[in-house]
Amino acid sequence: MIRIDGSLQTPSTYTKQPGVKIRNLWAALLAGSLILGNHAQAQTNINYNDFTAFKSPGKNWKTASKAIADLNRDNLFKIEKGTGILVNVPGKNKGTDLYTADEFGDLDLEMDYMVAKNAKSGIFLQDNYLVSLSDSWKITTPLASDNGGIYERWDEGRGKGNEAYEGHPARQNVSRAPGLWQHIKIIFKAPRFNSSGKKIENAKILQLELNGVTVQENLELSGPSRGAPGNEETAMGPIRILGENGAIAFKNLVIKKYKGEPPTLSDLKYVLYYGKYETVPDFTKLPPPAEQGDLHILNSSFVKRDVEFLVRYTGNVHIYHEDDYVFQRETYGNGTVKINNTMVGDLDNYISTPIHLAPGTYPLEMIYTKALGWLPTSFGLTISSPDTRAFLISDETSLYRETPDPIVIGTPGNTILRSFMDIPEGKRIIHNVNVGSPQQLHYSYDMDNGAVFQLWRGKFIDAIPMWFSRGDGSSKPVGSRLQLGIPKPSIVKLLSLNDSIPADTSGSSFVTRGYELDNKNNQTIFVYDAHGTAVRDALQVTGNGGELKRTVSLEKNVGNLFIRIAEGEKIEHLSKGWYLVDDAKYYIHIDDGSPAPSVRQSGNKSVLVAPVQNSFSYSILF
Amino acid sequence: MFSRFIQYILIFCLSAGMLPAVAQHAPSEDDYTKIARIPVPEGLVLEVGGLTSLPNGDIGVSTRRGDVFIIENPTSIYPYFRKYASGLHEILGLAYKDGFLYCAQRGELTKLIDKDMDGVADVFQTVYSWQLSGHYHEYSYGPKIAPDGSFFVSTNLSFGDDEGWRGQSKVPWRGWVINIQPNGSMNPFATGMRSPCGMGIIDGELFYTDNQGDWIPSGSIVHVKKGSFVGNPAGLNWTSMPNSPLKLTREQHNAKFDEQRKKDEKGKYIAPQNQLTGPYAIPPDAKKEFPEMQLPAVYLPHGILGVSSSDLIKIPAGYFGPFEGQILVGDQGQSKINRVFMEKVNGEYQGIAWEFRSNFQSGVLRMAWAKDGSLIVGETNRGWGSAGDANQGIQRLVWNKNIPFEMLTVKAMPDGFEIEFTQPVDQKTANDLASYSVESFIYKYHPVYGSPVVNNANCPVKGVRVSADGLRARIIVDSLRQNYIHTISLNGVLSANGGHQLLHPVGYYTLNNIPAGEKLKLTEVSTKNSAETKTPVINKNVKNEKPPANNTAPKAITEVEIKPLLAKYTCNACHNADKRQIGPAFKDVAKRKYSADKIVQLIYNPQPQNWPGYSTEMPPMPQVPKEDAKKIAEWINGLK
Repeated sequence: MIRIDGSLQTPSTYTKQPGVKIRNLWAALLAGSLILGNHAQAQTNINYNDFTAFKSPGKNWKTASKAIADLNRDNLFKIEKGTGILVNVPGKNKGTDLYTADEFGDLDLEMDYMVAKNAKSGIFLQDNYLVSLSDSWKITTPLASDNGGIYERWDEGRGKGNEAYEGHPARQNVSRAPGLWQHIKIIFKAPRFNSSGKKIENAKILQLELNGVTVQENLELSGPSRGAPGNEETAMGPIRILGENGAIAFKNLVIKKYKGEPPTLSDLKYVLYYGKYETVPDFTKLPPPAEQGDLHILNSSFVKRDVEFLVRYTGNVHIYHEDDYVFQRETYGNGTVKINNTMVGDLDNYISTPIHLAPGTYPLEMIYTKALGWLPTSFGLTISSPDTRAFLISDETSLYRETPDPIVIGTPGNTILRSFMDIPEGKRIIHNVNVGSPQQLHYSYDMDNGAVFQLWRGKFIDAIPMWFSRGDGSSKPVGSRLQLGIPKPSIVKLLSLNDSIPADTSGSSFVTRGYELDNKNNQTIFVYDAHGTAVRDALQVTGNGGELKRTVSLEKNVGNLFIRIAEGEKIEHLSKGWYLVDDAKYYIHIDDGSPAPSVRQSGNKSVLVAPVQNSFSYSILF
Repeated sequence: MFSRFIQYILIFCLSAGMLPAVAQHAPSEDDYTKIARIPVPEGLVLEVGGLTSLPNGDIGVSTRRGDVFIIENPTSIYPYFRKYASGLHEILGLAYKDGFLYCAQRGELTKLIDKDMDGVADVFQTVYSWQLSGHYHEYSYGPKIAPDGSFFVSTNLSFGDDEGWRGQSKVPWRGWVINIQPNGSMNPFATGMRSPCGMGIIDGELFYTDNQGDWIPSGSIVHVKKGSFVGNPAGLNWTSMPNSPLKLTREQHNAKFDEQRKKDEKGKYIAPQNQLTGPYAIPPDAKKEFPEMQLPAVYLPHGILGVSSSDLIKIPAGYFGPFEGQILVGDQGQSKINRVFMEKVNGEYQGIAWEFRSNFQSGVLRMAWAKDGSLIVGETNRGWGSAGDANQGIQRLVWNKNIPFEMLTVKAMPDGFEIEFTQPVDQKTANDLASYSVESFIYKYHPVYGSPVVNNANCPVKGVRVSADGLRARIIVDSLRQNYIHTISLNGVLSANGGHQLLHPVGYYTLNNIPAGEKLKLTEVSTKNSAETKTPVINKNVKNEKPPANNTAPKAITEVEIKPLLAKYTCNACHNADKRQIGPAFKDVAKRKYSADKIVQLIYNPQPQNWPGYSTEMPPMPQVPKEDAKKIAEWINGLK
């Protein structure tokens, strides 16, 4: 059953921040991710929570309530009966692919998915362009066939060994372990054809976001990927999820369908007046303009630098499908936008109001005025509607852009970079140490609590927030984060297992002593005193980059000390020593030599705790 | 033939050596010290935050990007940069003690240990960790090693929340100097600091420099004693804590010196503005109220001797010739180094500061001595801008053993000052009162950012006694004022050898105390003053000149006319005619085509938001008289 759902809003930070800087807008436009808000509830989102909206699925496709992978066995899911999850369970024979009944042109697609160990699957857009979805855990140099890559094209005519070309691997590998939920968002622009069917514009991945990180951006695709039905490209086509042999499970698949062509402009003219205009003047009473003429594209390049001026643009807007349109001015300075003689954005209201337009031609009038000569001239107009992805219809070179050069810290070895670190709970972690590894598994450690509070995969640190101009002392992970909440002390004193678990270090005489770099073992050992003993907290990226192993040792056995291993909404015991936290967010593996932990309820949270006498060892896998 | 050639060279060298003063040009700083390059590995961003000399002659460098380097053979052609540590949090100080390097990161004092002896630190021991609110401006500096082997760390205030302009101490010991024992125990030492970028131990005593802002009207060097309060009340938030060495509370301070927390009708706080009329306090008033108040030993007048005082360092015996034992103070914004001579009068330090060396490539933040007697200078300007337009780097100041004609020392006398020179003065000019001028001024003590110069007064020079060897001149000065800064200008005094002006003819003496003692009698001194007897010079060509046409256009203001004004009102502390410095070039201001009146308005009430590319905001300059402001404005608009 196709459910038409008007409630799911594509995230739009733009409308919430009227003060947004043009450079952010530009970045957003470039990423193709800018969806202007203020739209009526007319978006067409198709939710695929079962198989009804797919063409007759093969027997390898099943619905389930849960899928659990085995980190030691290839291509295998253990599934629990139920609904909500669609799973490809490969059998002895080749499975079938899954096709949507609907066909799509431009689309936004989002879903959660997980793969089994060494599984290779993917999703074909328009049955032609293959986004790889595969188990790429621990890979440091991803290929086009790895998770988030655009699978290569294939041409036998190039000769044996040279058939493959134009594969586009993800910019960094941010893949999760098998059996953990990953999230993908694809913003796709279909190819365009003229009336005689000739392709006039290539297909584009405007943005591909994997686990919260953009790994492809504004990527033009010259033709179908290997495995497409043929070489023919089409305006519309179905989504195909590969089921041949890769064990993949997905849920919350939502596809937003765009229809109709975006508006165009014609008969553009401009009239330029120099001088300071803080209100819209009566044009009949103005002195003769400095300049006027025709434009083939809206722009402001005819304005002299460092001056005050007013430009009045006129022209026609051509609308091809009925919708609520937003015409948003993007200027340094002020202005107005009038469509069909209706003011949609005036001097006092930077954010334009939507206007309902049926197919046809309407007059456009726009004013751009800059009353502060020194302000850089920056001019743009974007158009969007529920069924039109926001796009810049004016000349991009008329937008003023200024961005600092990126400063990304690499991890040739065990790499430390201290900085403040902001976490989503609104806290800034002050005595934070970021530790990076060449295996591309990194973590942040709070020296005030002796706690690991986030891990991430992919690239290490963006130091712009700290090192550009004065900076604010903080940095940001470049890769995809696993966040473990507000840091709390790892070593706690509990008089009994049922004693309440302290949320901070008060009363524990906690004093940080710093850290040591154990170069031989690529370990970073954090050292502190608490509860009357010295504590050594050794952290090591191990298992070929799959896991962060943690060994906490106490100098003295002072009694009643416990280690807080994990905290979440839900902690599932999978098998001896194995735990799964928060609906397959990450695994905990208790070292064989360490005592079995127990899952405790603390408030509305589940906490995995274990007693520590001398030392305790476990790993976080994700 | 060959030997004769050598002979010529020898003769040439000898004569040049014997007669340094007959140089054709007026001497400049370049004639005595050279700013030498230190080759830095390509691609290395060396934003120096800390510098320290190691016993073997190596130089330790820490950077704002968190690296620690040891420069081996720092004065050779190819110094070797060993990366000793990395990944630390914006290190703004580095010190060596008993075989180990110590550094202040944003949040802690750290001991660096190379346990496995591979030349790279592997143990990062937290000696003491302090609280921070997480604001960018909470920088921490140091450590400096106290004579007892403990560490001094100084801490910046933050800003933000609803009063973005006000220095704030949101967590304990921000705006303080703290003292940390090697075992990690901490004792707060003194407060009132705002942005204490430089500290130094001079003869066993702690001194620090601060940066202009609220309550801190100008950069200066302050002698910090245990329990001192040095001016900004934010750090007083914590004096009720049991280990505070002073008990003065913020409320007590506020009762005497209003913090001016005022709100507008919408309930938003208003930044305190400098008031052109009405009563105001000056720093000595605070000293009268609070015995804890420690006034600067030596002011480095804002805009003249810098805009952002940084490191201070004593010149060791045997270094820099006659200047050994004196103090050098760096300045980030003006990319230069000042020289300070201090003396103790009535138990308190005071003294004089001069410009010493300018034209470093970037903001001077740190200094350390190399074993060959040269000065290593560590630089950065990121986020603030500086006169030197490089963003960062390291240079070396080398003295070439020629002695510049300078004031060597200036000492306070009961009736004036005694000036000692590095070279004999020309008796004629030195005995002429017209060669000297003295003025005094002070600043406001208020919650406004910075301060105009106030209470200016002329201090007539009544007599001078020059020693027979020409190395000393004692001047009798009228109207000396205790606690005031005295501008001592010796523009007319020439050297005996070559007849040159002093390399830096103006010094700024902070007269905290006027010593007791015998005064000179007017009969013992020269009272000759050529300025009083001079007859006006008549221009012989005047008759041949056409009378000026009936010209209503204002006369173009010349560079010669404007220069003293730009200096007087410290415009040139941040602006250059053609070149972007801390602020925009005057030419770029001209391009905005403001009217002269508008520029005057902007001088009084700057609009930093109009200049988004500049990181340091211009303070209001209400002290510039309207007619001078107008002159400056017209001159700016005449720049093309």
